[in-house]
Amino acid sequence: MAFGVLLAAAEMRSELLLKALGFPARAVLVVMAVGLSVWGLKELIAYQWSKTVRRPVRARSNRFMMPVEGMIYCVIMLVLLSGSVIGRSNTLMLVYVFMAGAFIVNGSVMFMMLKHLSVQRTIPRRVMAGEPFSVQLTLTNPKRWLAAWVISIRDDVSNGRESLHPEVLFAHVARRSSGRGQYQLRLSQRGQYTFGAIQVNSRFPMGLVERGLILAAHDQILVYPRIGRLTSGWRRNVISATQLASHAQQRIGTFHDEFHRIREYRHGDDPRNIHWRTTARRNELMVREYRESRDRQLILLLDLFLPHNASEIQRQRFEYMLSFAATICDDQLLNGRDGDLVFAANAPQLQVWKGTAEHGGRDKLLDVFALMQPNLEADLPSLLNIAREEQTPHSRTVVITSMEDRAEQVRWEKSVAINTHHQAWAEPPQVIVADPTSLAMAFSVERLASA
Amino acid sequence: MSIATTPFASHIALRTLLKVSISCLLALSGGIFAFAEGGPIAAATIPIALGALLWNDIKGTFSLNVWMANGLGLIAFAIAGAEFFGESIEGRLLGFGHLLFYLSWILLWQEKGTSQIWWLCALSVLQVATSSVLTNSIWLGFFLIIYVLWALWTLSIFTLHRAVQRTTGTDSKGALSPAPIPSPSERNSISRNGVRTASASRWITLRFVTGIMANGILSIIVGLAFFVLTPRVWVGSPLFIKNQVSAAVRSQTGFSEEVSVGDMGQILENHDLVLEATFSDSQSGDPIDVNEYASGLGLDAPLFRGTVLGEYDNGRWTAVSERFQLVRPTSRRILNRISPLVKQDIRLHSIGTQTLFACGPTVICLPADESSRYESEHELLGNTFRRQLKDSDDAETGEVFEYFAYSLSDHQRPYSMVHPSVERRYAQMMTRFPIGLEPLAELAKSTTQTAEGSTLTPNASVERLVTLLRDSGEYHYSLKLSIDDPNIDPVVDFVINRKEGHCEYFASALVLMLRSIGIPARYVNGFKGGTLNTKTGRIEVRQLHTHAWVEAYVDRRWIVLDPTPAARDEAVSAISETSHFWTDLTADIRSLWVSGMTLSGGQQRRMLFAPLKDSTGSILESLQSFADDWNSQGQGSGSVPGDARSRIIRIIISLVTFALLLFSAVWLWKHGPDPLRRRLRIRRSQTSIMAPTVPFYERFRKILAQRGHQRRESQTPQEFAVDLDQQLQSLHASRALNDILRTLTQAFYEVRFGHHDLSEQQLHELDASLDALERSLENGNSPNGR
Repeated sequence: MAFGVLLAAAEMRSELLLKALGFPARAVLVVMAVGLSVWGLKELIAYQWSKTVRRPVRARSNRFMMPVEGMIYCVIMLVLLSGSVIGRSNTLMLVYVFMAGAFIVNGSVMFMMLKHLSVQRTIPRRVMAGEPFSVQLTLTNPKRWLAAWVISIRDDVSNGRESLHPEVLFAHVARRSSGRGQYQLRLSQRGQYTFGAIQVNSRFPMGLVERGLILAAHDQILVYPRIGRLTSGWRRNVISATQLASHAQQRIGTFHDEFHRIREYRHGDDPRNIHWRTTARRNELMVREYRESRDRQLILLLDLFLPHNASEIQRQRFEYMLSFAATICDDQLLNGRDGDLVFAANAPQLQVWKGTAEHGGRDKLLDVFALMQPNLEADLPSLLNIAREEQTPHSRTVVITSMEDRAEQVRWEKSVAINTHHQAWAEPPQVIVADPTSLAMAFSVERLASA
Repeated sequence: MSIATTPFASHIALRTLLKVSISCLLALSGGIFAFAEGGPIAAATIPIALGALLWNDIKGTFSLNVWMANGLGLIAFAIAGAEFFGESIEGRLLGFGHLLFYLSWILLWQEKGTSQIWWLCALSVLQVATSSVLTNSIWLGFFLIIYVLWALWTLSIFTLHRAVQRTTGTDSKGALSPAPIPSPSERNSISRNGVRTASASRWITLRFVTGIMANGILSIIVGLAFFVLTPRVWVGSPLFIKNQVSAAVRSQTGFSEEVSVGDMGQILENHDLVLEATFSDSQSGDPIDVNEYASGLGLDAPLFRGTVLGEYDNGRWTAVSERFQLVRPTSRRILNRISPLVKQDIRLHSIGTQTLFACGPTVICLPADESSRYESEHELLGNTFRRQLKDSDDAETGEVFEYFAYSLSDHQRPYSMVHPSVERRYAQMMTRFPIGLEPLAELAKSTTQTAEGSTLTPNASVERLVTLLRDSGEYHYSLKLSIDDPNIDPVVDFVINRKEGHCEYFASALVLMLRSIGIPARYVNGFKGGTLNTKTGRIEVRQLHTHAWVEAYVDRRWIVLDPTPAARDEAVSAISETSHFWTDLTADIRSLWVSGMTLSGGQQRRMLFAPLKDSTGSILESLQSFADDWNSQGQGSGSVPGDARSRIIRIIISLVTFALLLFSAVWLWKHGPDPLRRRLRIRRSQTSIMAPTVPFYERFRKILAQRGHQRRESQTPQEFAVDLDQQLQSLHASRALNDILRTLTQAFYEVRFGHHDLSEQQLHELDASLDALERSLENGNSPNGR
């Protein structure tokens, strides 16, 4: 704006152009100077306005930035122009106009190259914390005549605590075509991540000016806690799912025995389980082995208590607890055939989930895990009451907490309930403190390589 | 390898290409400066740049660290400072230019990061800009175009390299960042950027190169348009402009108000038309044959006289600067006093000079158009003519100028409008003999002595000297420009050592030798001869007819002497009879260049702004007349009522109709019932519906098609895969290739016919397989890299 005003004022005062080239040249210069001033004023007002008034984000907006090298280029051009005018040198003027021509063509090419470009982002809806995944960006160039060169697409990923800015560089996208590129992410924090506006930038070909587009393309992704694997020690020592068929049990009763296999007779086996036909065939005693059905209802209670000034170790244990609980739920839903799962957590609003893996039940449960937050006022009695209400003769209850004193409190609550003749436990809940050291034999955060 | 990373090898190649490009750019700018300066310092940039490329950039054997670079920089400033505080402006400019080169040499030998490359580009531009002040030769324009194209190429490569570097995070040594290893306790998320190239292993494709070249050509065209349109509002005093303009004009016409002996060589290849002339009797109007007229003057060919130069200094002739030169506007009254006269009707083409040419002892030159803006000035002592705008000092030389020159029919009758005493003083001035040319004086003296030792008469002396140079056979005509002894005067070198040269040398030698024996002589340049155009009946004089001769003051009159051997005329005839396309093209280009380098504000005003002003004025006048007519309606001026109103209505209707037609045309172009366009649009929309699941197979087919493998119409995809596997048996470990082909084909069947959608992970894996396939086909190796 200042330059335009100065130019007009200089001509009005000195009448240089008027004397040299006549009125039309002066008129052209004044019109250009006024236009420049108006444009500058408009940019100034727009800048100040944007700083003071928060406007809703537009779907598509442009950006322009001139780096230092571009400014130096303009300064050199100006010096050459001044030198040619002062020194009356047409050859120096020629050098100046070639620089100016290249600059103008460069800017025009960039402007036209970025027009009508669109970007589509493809992301998974859910990922596991620490799991690498790819985000695909599809750059579409619908223009008829002009390809897009050296386009850098910058994405914005944040969850309020950390922010990432991955980029994909597209060397060339031909006219009327699309190009697909990917970048990789590994999100370590559980929760919800937001993908913000996409920036499409280019400095091609001369690198003196950067132009870009800002496209409003918002997406969200849920990051689950890490799902590890339960060891056989967990199944054996905690769940106790397998029983030999030596029990004298009814088919229908407390335990629903299932025929498991036929094996050789061992000392102590019930003679009534001898399978005579196989015995005759193999000429050795063979018995039927039954296995207690593991499809028992699991009631998993999760204590979300975390003190206000929790240390980093406490927070890590909290996440470890969620990871452990999620693994148990995942295991129960995937591997249990008839058993279902009841999950409850003492969030600010009590979270209760019941169901099976069918109809996307697993995803919905893991979504709950993704969004779970610590609760300073986590209430244990109400949590235990849910278990009492949901328990069945076939159910087993597991309470998981991240702190030892909370575990003690659970045990006390459990015993108080028994002593005061509240509804008795069909099976007393098992209390587990999510301590990485003590659970090392039962649970591993590292997943095995997928088969 | 994943599609998300760029091949390391191709990134190295890109960086190497960048360094090669920047080194060549610096070498080019150094060559341009060396050509402009005529010195060796800038030329040293070429071997320095190549050496730095080899030992610093490629091999990495040696590079300057920061301390060494700073120390050398200080030394460079000191050396350039000593050059800068010289006497002449040109010396200071050269000092500044040399400083640019010293700094660029230091940067070339440093390890090149982003800032170093930017500095090198900036220094290169400044070097070229400085060169443009030192010379305006046409070769500068040619190299400038090459420089612009190469600079754009270098900047494009640089931009691409920076984008890749920023995206992939490669360091200056080129190592890629290691892949992240998941850790359970890690709290910070990590992202890894991706790169999508047109080809899996190449950044620079043919399309990239042609795009950059097209961008460069467009930049040059836009720049040239700017050059024409940028107002020439000169502010300061010219630094080198006088010499530049003179040099430009000199290269165009072979003469100017200053002549440097030896610059005429290139003119003899120039077929540009300078003037066309017809000769007739001034009273009867009967045509006169120009060769007969020349014979009557004692000349073997018509000599069109241009400028007269009388002062000589170290190879340079200039016009006499004495104040008593008499110049006056020509007047037609003189025509009534002298007769008969030969009237020469001359059309002078734009050659960048105000000089008016005429053949023979010319009395007066008058513009053919009596109402012309021009008038002619007559420099009496030299008897030369120039045109001048009546009310301006500006030199308008850009148009064909027609004028009449009236000359005497013979030399017998001397004619002069100058007082004899003035003429004597002038003649005395024409005997000035510069110091340092004693060999010429000795030769002249020895030539003009009789056997007895006495001096010949002036007429005999003149004849003897002319014979020595032209007819003795001791001196030969040549366009050779080399100098045998640069420490002596070029004319002395010609007369004593080389004994061969062109007309400038012969004329200069004769003038100086005549002066050494006391005979006033002056150097004249113009044009000799011409070709008759049988269609127009005019004699056409071209640039290649440029000539220099001598006029000696003997017996109180100036006589014309031509000491150049006849070989000159033969050479000119031979060249004028041949006309080549490339010769004419070169001449046109040269003419265009000179026009550009001598472009003035006046020429711009006449060519660009005056027509704009006239058209704007006419539009304003039309609008004014409409307004007047409209106003006159209310005043009852007597004009036909509604006449102006109806005109305006017609205009409005025309404008609206035009606008409607324009919008309709645009709408039809975009949405019109074009069957082909509709069909294409439908097919495009169908393709876009299918696009999400088919493109991997399309890419597969494209990769193979580029390498000459195409599926026949009768082949199913399965058959094509089998056929292809057999064709590519030459690749090692073809089992991996077979797996890729089978996987791709199977996936295609599932999608195309099974209507299954592939997951993102599967699409990602297919893309990776296609990358591997493309690489293997390019390298001729197994897709596993073995």
